[in-house]
Order: sequence, then C-alpha cells, then structure tokens
Amino acid sequence: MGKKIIQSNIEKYGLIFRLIEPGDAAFILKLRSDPSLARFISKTSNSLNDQINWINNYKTREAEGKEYYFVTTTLDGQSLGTSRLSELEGDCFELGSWLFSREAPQGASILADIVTKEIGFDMLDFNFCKFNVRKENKSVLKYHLNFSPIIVDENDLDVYFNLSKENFYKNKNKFLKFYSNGN
Amino acid sequence: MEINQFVGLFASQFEDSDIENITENTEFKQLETWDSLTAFSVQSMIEDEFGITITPVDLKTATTVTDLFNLVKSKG
Repeated sequence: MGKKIIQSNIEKYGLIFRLIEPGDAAFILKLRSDPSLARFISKTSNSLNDQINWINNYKTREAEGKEYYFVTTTLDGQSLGTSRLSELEGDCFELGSWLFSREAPQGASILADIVTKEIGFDMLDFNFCKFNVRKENKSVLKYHLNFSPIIVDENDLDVYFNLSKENFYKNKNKFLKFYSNGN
Repeated sequence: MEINQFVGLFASQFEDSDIENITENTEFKQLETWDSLTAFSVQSMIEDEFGITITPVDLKTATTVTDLFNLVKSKG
C-alpha cells in the first residue's frame, strides 16, 4: 500500500513547514556555507545554479512521494532552517539536512526535528527512523540520545541510529514542555 | 548547592573546547558552542538536579553563569 503524499504546508508549534522550492536555493546555500554550521555536514557546491538544479531534481522525487525536504519558517514567513525525510522505504524513513540559522529563536530547531519525526511517524505511518551523526558533533549526539535510539553501527566518523516510533513518543514531551504551548 | 558545583554541572553540558573556559563570570551565550541544543541540555540538567523548569525566556534574562545560578535559587 502506498504512503500518503504530502503536498501542502504544515503548521505546528508556532512554526510553518513548507516544501522547499528553487527560490530557497540562496537560503540553503547561506546555511550550508556558514562555517559554524558546516563543520559537520558534507561539502556543498558554492554555485547557486547547482543548488537550484539539485532542488529541481529533488522536486521530482517529492512528486513521487520518495522524499520530503522542508523549510521551517516563522508564521510570517521568515526562513529559519531545514529538515528532510528521505529513503522512505519499508517500515523506516531517514532523517537529514537538519540545519538551522544561528539567528533562529531558541528551540525552533528542536521543534522542527520533532515535527519532522511526527510527519514520518504519524502522517506517513512509519514505525522507525534512521539517522547518522558525526561523532564530533557532541551537542547533536547528546540531543538524539534523549530519545533512546538504538546504535546500529559506527565508524571513525559517524554513529548510525535507529529510533522507534514508540521511543519517540515516550520521550518527545520532555522537549515540548520547554518550547511549545502545545499548539 | 554551591556556585562552584553549579559551574561544573553547567560546563559539562558544553563541548570540550569550551569547558575549561567556563567560570561563574562567563557570559555563556557568547561561547562558540552555545546553541539551542546546548540550551536544552542546560535546561534538562537544571530540571534533573533542581526539579525546576527554566524556559527560553528565563534563559534570555541570564547573562553570566552566576545569573543563571541565582535564577535557579530564586525559583527553588
């Protein structure tokens, strides 16, 4: 049975999640070329055209329900960061591209991570999500461990995790109580 | 809890590069590795150790580690 296709914006916890468009290329490039944010991500071409082409190719995968790349914005449309669900196969999706501007309000990146997982677990009805984190990215590692994921593999650079829907829902409220009014 | 113990607990929420530079007078939001995730770690540590919820608004009012310690004491 096919999964639901996401086509419209999602509003939750005072933030808007909209599917990325070629017009977001400059914002993505700005995020990915920020030295403090780029420490733990793969290198990106500095070409705006390359970024636009990448997004155009992604839009094909999005239309087929294979991948969803979101820009998180404030309610008045200010772009704050990104998150992505990919490899939507079987019972598991992959999380990635979790990158937020240093000017984003405190907690926006955490709320975006929670909403991205809710999209995968609730809207798309997956039971597991996988993600990997650079070992040196200690604050992100520490954050993810709060959800009690299973470590499925590791190498010199990365730790590979699998998080169950059950553990996500057991643990997400400890974050929401700090940052959300529940809407 | 004494301020020195609090500084130790606070510093342990940061990446290694910042830990040794943290004192009671540190303006923690100026540290290179201060971000939302570190803020969450600090909020969690305070809740676990003191049973007190510190909100993002509370954190905004604190500049130094001592400010935060005093805020925790005032809510305790």
